[in-house]
Amino acid sequence: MHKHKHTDQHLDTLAKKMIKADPLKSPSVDFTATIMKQIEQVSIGETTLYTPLISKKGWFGIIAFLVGLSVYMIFGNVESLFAIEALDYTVLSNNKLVNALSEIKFSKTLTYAIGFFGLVFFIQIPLMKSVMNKRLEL
Amino acid sequence: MTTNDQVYIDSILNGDTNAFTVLVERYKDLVFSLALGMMKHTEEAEEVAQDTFIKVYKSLGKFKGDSKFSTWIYRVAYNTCLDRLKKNKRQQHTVEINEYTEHQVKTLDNALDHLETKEREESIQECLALLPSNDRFILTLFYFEELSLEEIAKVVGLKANHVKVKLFRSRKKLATILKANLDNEIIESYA
Repeated sequence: MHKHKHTDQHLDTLAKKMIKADPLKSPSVDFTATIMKQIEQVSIGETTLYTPLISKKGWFGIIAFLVGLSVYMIFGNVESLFAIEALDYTVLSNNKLVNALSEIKFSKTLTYAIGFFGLVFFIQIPLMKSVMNKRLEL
Repeated sequence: MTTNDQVYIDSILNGDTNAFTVLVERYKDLVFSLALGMMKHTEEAEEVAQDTFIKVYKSLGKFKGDSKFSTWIYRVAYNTCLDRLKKNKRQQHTVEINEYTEHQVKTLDNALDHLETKEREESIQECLALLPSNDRFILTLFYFEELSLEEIAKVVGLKANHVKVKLFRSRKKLATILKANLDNEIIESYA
């Protein structure tokens, strides 16, 4: 054990000597200029500052609209809101395309598989995001 | 080296892009040397070093100042090198980790000392060029930059104990390379 310690010390000295003997190298002369030129094209935080998809104003608008609609449906005259009776909504569920597709049956296993795939997919997004962020953190 | 990095970081974040020049000038040699040690190729090392600084610039807002700015740059440089190496899929040769006796190591050291200056420099350059990327990187941080085990651990994303073990192995690999590089005759004459 004691002997090992001495060997390690000598290895340490040897490695230190070799690494120290290797001077720092300089990149090409226009290194800094190249970087500064590229940097002019990116603004800082371009990749780090996110603007939310729906702004605060937007959220207030949506909430106001939903609350208004609910209030109207509870207290107001609902009949008049959907006054256009002439529209035939059955076209949504009774057309050639839907009828053709209704022939296709999925097995339960496949349904679960697709559902599970979707679930795992959405779990992966935040995971990948945190992994990528960690590479730039300390 | 003065550590007024934060002053420059602040002024960059306040819109003074040119302040970044100071930081690039301050760290370019080290980042380039680290990249060269890992990539073993001048042009690639230069590209990786540039990428590193651009990444650093883009995510400057993420630097929280919990650790030294230099440590953070090394980490970005390390990851950029790894990404590039992975992309290249170039085969790194492996180096044996042999056990050495005290006497063997001393002999190698003596043999190296007795080479002519120019010859010794060349020999050391050759050996370091043969050292695998990761070994070269942590040895440089440890001996040249004199970072602590904890700091290196932060840079490469490992535990400090693991870094210690890695340093052990890297030193042994370096000895193996040196032994192969020096002529047997020279080694024997100092044994």
